[in-house]
Amino acid sequence: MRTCAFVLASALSLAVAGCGSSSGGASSSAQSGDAGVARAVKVMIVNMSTFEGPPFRSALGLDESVPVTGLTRGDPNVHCNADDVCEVTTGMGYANAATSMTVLLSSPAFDLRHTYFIIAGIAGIDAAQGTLGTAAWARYAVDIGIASEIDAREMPAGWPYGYFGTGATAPQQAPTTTYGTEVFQLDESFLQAALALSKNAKLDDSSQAVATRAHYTSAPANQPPQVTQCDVASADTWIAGTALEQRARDWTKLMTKGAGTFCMSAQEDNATLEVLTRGAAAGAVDMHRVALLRSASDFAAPYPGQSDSACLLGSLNSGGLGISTSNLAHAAQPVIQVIVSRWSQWASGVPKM
Amino acid sequence: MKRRLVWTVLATAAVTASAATVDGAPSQPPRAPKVLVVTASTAEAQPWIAALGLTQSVPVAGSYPKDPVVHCNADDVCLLTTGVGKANAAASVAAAVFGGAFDLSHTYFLVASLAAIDPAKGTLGSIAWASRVVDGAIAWEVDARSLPSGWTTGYLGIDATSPTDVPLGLFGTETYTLSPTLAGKAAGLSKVASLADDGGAKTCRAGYASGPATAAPSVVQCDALTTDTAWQGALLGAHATAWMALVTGTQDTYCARQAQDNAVMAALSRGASAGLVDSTRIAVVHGASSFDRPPAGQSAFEAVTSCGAAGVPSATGNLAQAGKAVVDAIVSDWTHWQGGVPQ
Repeated sequence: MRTCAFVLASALSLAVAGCGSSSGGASSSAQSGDAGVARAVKVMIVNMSTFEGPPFRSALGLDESVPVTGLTRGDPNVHCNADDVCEVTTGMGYANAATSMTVLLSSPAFDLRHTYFIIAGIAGIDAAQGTLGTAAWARYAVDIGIASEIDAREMPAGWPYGYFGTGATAPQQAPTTTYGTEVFQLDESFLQAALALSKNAKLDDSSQAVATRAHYTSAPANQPPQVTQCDVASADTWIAGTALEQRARDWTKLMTKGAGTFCMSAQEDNATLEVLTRGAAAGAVDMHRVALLRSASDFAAPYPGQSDSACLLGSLNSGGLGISTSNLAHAAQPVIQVIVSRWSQWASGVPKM
Repeated sequence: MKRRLVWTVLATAAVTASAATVDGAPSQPPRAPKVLVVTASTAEAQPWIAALGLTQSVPVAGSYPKDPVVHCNADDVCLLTTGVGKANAAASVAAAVFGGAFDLSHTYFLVASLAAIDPAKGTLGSIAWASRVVDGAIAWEVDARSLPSGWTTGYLGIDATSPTDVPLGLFGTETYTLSPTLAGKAAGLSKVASLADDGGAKTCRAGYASGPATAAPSVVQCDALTTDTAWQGALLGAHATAWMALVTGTQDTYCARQAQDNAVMAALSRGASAGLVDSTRIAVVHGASSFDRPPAGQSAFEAVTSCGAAGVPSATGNLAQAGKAVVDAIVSDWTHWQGGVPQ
């Protein structure tokens, strides 16, 4: 007998898929609820696009599929291994990320109270902070979408760009109204541990990435990728170009009181982190066990002589896409390995490194 | 007995702890609202709570921290405040849909929020029922001063080659079509509502030379665009109109810009796929709290600073009044609505 994914669905005899056992070939149902026991996950990898999951699944042997009613049609299963390392793909953008994370936290299949979450996705990088394939652990996730915007061709004279804070009267002013999801700070102990454990990870590179990055005139943009620390700016809008990159830098500084450094432009993290924060308030997850990893699939702004639009239009063909997805797994794997193999030290929290 | 760990256990504990204000012990079946109003901010929620007498509070784990309960009355009319913006909206609605405290399979959803309105389609205080909601933010963008020849805006679809390419819909949350039957019915029912107006709205309305912007508030039907970024001005207004047409293939249906709808719909449509929600029972309505573009002769920035919130009081009240007309019709005639929108 299986635990039904939803009490409500059970009452209505709906959502049959959520109550049935997985038909996946490698699936073993023992941990996922035969005895009504929620699976205590040690590590949950949170990916967004369907091409971010496969490198993790193959590197970690996440061969068991646990169906969770309410996840995306593109990937309706959580993928796990016998070490209780699991991976979920939320779908891209804020709406998908927040919905899938809420579904995951609402599922009776998992006990996530002591789980280490590694949010891992690809991003556009600031060439001042890294290069194609760079993997960065974030201290801050800053929302750059929640703002007002005037088309730059009709903004007030002297403004550097058309974005400004809600209720503010100039781009340099903090917003006067906030919605609660603007800034999240990741746990510093877990961040430092993740950085220390992954700093020597061997990262992939590609000949096309090498060629693209050669157009940039200084390091680190024109050097091979490394693991580093810098921060994420999130919005559904994928911004590119010199002016909008500068705005992401400025906004990150403004919203973190100077402490954050923009490097990765991505489309989900503040939605994912809002749900985890709500989950922590309910006692369902522990925010001291959440880390955010982004790897660069493209440059957010052009190299000297390239136009903003050429940079943007070429971003998916810059040679960074493949290496960014595999480098997420390369950077996260040493961290996951240590958590699982030394669980007695990690069970009660991030150990002193 | 099987228990749901994590959120459900905690939610159950919360229900038990506040049992004095809650109908239904944990052992009872989930509450089945006839109507669930989904609103964005706590300020927007207040007129609904007052007008509908929503004095009961049902705690929902994972809901909006500033209003962590669903408000209900004895007629099973309830209201959920999501918080503003897509992250809050999707998280809050998904918590209600997948949390197990409610049976929403026969519930009518009124997704109601303030919005900026196109002055060619309505005015401050107007009520607009949508047939479609389209995401404006899921896009590529470069600064509009660096456009290549032929581009009229810095926004284009992800992986497109120019702003005139039809966006690919890669995320799956870009477009939702609502029941036209329900939208039409709701618009008709809400026309009986008396819509308020005030001096501030009249002053800002007077800046426009002609068209719907200059008339008194009324009930209209036109479509909504969702973006966390509040676009202002003639150029981004024109882009909003063009983007709606590009995505839907239908000209000139855009009128309202707000920051929640596609996120609310993402969570509801996941619920519908799971059999938890009936997607033919969702209506989306907006109250016009500002104009999305200035009158001729005024800059975008001047319009924001002078009239950016001029319609908030009337639109907030009018949303609840217009919505109440629909809620009353559904509840008082439930036998005809129970099986679906009556013809």
